[in-house]
Amino acid sequence: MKGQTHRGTIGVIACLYALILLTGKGWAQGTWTWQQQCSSSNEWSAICYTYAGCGYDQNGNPIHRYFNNWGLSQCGVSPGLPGPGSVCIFPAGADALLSSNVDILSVGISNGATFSWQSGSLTLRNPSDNSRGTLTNEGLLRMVSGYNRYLSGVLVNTGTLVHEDGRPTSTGRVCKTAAQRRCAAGGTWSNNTGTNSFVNTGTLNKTTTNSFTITVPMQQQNATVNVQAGTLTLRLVATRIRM
Amino acid sequence: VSWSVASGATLVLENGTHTFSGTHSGEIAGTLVQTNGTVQAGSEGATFNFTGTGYQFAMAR
Repeated sequence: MKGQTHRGTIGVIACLYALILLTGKGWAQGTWTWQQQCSSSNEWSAICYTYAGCGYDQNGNPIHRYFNNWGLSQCGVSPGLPGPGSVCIFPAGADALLSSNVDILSVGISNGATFSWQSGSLTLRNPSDNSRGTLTNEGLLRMVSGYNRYLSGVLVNTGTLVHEDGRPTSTGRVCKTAAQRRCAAGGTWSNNTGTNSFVNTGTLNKTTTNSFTITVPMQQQNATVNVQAGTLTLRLVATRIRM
Repeated sequence: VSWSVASGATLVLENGTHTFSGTHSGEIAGTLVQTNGTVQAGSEGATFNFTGTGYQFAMAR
């Protein structure tokens, strides 16, 4: 009897441990709606904490309550983040930043939401068959900074996609002025693995004096393309540009 | 498609095949240039109606 109880206890502990491991893996499927809770960061994967409401550990130290920007919190351990198969929604009023690598099914940026893509790879796919996923932008999608971005999937823009800002660099640059000798590279937006595309029925703006290169195959359909400053290069395998 | 390139700015089309269909217009005060690759009209045909410096070809075919 005592042995059975012991084995049962071990089983419960093993299950709890497995649960912790799964939780610790840090992601889960399902629909995720942006709800920024970290005042210190609006980054996709940001985790922040307070000491509120989680009690104390065996040494009398307060236990952290960890928060993400997707409306979740947990005591003592970081809450999960969107992962393969996840549907991510940015509602009106959201102001989010992506500077990490994510692998999800789809992204929806609502009218009135701002999504700033600073760097990293955005992999949009269905993990069950690896088919392409979609980013649909009805709001404001900003390409910021001079870092490189990689897209796997389909980006459909019916709102505004704007490239702005750059970072000072010594290579691959376009100088603002010879006198200033300050150069900035606007980075790239590159085609990653698989068959990907950018369908623009909205507005594509480039606003700052640096270079920006897009290598994702694109379709401009009844779209508006404004290059207000700098150089925009469409370096593509194939494009279809239609009314 | 409405294209606009401000004075001092540049829009470069490189590599691959760029297929235009329908009407393309806008003020090109800066530079709109295809530096290589192929430009072609789609099955519906294409109309370019740019003002300013227009659509420039440099080593394109």
